[in-house]
Amino acid sequence: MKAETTYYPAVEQNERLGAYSGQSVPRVEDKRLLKGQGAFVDDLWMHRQGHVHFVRSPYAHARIVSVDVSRAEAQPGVYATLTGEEVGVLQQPYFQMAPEPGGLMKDYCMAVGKARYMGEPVVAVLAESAALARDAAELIDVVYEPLGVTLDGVATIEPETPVLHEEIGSNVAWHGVYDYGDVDWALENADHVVRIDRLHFHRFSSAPLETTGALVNWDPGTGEIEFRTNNQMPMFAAMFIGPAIGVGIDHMQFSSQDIGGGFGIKITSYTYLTALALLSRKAGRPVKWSETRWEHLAASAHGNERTFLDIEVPVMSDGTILGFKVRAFDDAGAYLRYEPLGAVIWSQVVPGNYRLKHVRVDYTETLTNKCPVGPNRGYSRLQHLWMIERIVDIVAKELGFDPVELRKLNYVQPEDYPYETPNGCIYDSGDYPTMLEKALELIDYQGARKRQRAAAGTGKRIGIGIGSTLDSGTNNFGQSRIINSALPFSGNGEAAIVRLDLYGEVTVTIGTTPQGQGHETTAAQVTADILGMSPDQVHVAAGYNKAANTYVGFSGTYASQFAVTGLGAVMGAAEKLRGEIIKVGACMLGAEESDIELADGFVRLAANHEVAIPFIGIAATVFANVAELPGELADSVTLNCRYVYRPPFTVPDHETKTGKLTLTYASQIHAAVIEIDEETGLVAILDYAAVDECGRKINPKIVEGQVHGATAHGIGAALHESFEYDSEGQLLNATFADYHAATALDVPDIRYDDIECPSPFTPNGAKGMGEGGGAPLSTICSAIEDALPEGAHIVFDTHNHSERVYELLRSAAAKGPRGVEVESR
Amino acid sequence: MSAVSGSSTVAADRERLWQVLSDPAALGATLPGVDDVFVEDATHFSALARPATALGETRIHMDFEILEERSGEYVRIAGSGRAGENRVELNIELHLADAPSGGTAVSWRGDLTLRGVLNSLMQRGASAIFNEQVEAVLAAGAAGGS
Repeated sequence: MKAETTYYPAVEQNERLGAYSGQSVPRVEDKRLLKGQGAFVDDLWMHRQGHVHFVRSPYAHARIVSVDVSRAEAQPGVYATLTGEEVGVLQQPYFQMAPEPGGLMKDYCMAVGKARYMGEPVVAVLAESAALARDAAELIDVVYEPLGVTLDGVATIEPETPVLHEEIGSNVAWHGVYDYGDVDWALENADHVVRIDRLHFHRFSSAPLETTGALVNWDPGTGEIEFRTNNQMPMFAAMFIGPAIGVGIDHMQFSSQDIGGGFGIKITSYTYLTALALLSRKAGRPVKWSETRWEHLAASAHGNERTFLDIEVPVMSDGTILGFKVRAFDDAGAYLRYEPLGAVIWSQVVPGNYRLKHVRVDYTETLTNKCPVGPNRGYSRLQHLWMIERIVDIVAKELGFDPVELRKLNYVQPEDYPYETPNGCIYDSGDYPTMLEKALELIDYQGARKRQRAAAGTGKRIGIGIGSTLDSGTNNFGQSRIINSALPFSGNGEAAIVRLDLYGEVTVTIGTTPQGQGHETTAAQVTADILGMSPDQVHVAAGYNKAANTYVGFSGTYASQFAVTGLGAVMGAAEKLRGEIIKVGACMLGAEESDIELADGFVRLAANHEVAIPFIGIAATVFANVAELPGELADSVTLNCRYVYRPPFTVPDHETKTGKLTLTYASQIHAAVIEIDEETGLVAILDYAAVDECGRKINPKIVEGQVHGATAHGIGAALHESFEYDSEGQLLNATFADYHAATALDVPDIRYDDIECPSPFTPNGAKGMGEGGGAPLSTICSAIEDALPEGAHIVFDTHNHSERVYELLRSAAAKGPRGVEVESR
Repeated sequence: MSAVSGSSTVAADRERLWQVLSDPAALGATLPGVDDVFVEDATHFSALARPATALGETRIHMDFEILEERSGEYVRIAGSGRAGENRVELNIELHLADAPSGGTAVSWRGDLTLRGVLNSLMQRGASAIFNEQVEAVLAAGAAGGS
């Protein structure tokens, strides 16, 4: 066993969890959602509301010479327009998280002066109906002067390339070197050095059922702005909107009920919210906007595209991988919006699932004439984790190691926990070797190998792939200081209120913005356990409401953290309420508090269950019969208990780029068997397994559902989903006719299994999960690599459509460069 | 940008076909789905067309210029316009010759550039629609320009 480690203060596990927590309680939300009774943005309505249509740039890069809205404004039923020129006056540029040079960027809610990607909003039109707004938009004359475009995330740094933001002076927004251990020593002393020329993580997104939208009213009387929106991190949005338009947070109200999927993409909708607020103020009426699917695909946010160059991997003769060295270019698109946070967030998982000690990453955030990026399920980590999995498979193939054994040799081992990574992050718990065994068992690994051999010469090639990933959850926002030491962020938190109402009802409100994760269900489960009642008796307020619910600065739902921060807050508040109920109950029963227990919605004597008071009796006394209580007691209870859960973070070190960046590390290990048609390059998934570990599960069925979702998302990205731009920066697949989001027809039956390694750092033993770490991307690439003939080029891209696979198959015969070289000593 | 090309044999003599192709008013009138044609001068005209696209019926305002012509055998036309916030540009040249078996052999080639979402929606259909338009013009020309 590893010596005692004190990486975080000891956390007492809540022993009251158990009766309902850990059970697959049916989701409360499903009743309304499956009956079509959910309330999404487009279901909302306000008196006098108008509808918005955005006129968008047809050019990827163009100066806006003139805008004439007169013909549109003259149309009956058109209320107002908002141009970029007006925005340039009404709005200050958004605060930038980047230091210089990226920090010099002047970003507005709409194009001011020039458009920098196809689909960028140029003018907003408000009319009495959406159709009228769209028709009026056709009457707006915008004269553009097209400019040269830059589209390659690496080549964009070259001197002759068109510059997107003149104030920055180049297309480099951020650059930094992360250097851990001694990679030069490792490369010098390794028995082998494997050199990989280039790996490319492609650009794709999420396809939430509900696109982005909002109903916004800037009340001319009170000056308050009401945002009814499906933004998934409202306080983050408020931090950008408030200073930009000179409105205090106290004058901004955010709310949502049901959100039809987010996956991170809905975090950066603050630009649209700003435009809608300005338009509402100008028109003096509420404004409503629902993004069309093409708008979502072309101009919402894309996942980060990243290119890895000049990878060098030192490997010992026994297969021990010492680390790696790489140059990474992250293509942020036209604006930074959420970037360059991705330039540090990847470092939550520097060594991936492995004991890699020596790592150097030279990281550059670049700008191109493409849609801005935003967080997208596994944000910034899945790119890095995919690269590591590619490294492991390529090393195995080039040096003749079994990919299973190589993984087992290099994995962080169960006895290593808590495991400190080279940059000071602490992996809390896990057992990757067992998970891998389970995954291989699910796909019948040995049987698959036999099928692979038997397929030789049939025109079909069988490949077996493995993907090992992490789902780091509960961010320490102090990591932002690694990219900009001046940023005033650190730690994290979430808030909840649990209260007992007059007739004994228990109500929970939280600062989170659920998008399908089942918060109402799981919050009720933990509350029920702590208060000794049934989850059916706990009412969890649906959705987010800044005015009615409690919140903190980092409130929202993102980055795999609800099970820790959200439920941590609920548990803390429920414990406070439990304490108050016991205090009042003990007084009313004339007993000691230690003699009291809560069960079935009653306060009762542990020794005599007949002596009991229902919760309604406690509430009625405190709220309506308070003179019965001693004054001191009456003064000390509210039955309305707020708690802020705060993870035990400290501030990371800007100079060394080290620190505790994330609290928990869930993991997923996937395995797949694929079949490639040699004539077409078409990949068919024959078998797929996902093994999950996310600490203690509050609701196993919800966890399994999220694993299925993340798997489908990843399979879609691996084989079907990729944003393709032409040489002029025109997005070629901005509708579902061409952007093929994975459907049930594309996703095989997923064999699922799990293990539980409770986190010692969280009060419920849970770890955040749901993002999945992009495991299918690694798994499918691994399987394709495994299926390729000897001498073929390495699998170098996350996206492998049949044409690319066909080319890889043919590359063996061409005997050209393979994208990899080995130096052995 | 989509490259467009095609060829057809029209059951009309070259002279009659040329009259249609070289007359902006007649040419505009032959375009299917064209609501309005405004002839500015001998080489410039504009039209509002409503071809069926993946967006449904798309209103496209186009300005055309006849850039070059050799009577009875060659014409090159450039057009630019907009469909809502989308932009459309085309360059096309048509070659006319007597067909061996009678009538007129017409070949055309050019390029069509769409910018904006229309490009995404129409990338596979644009060439086909464009060729249909040309065929329709030629058919109308063969029928006497109506």
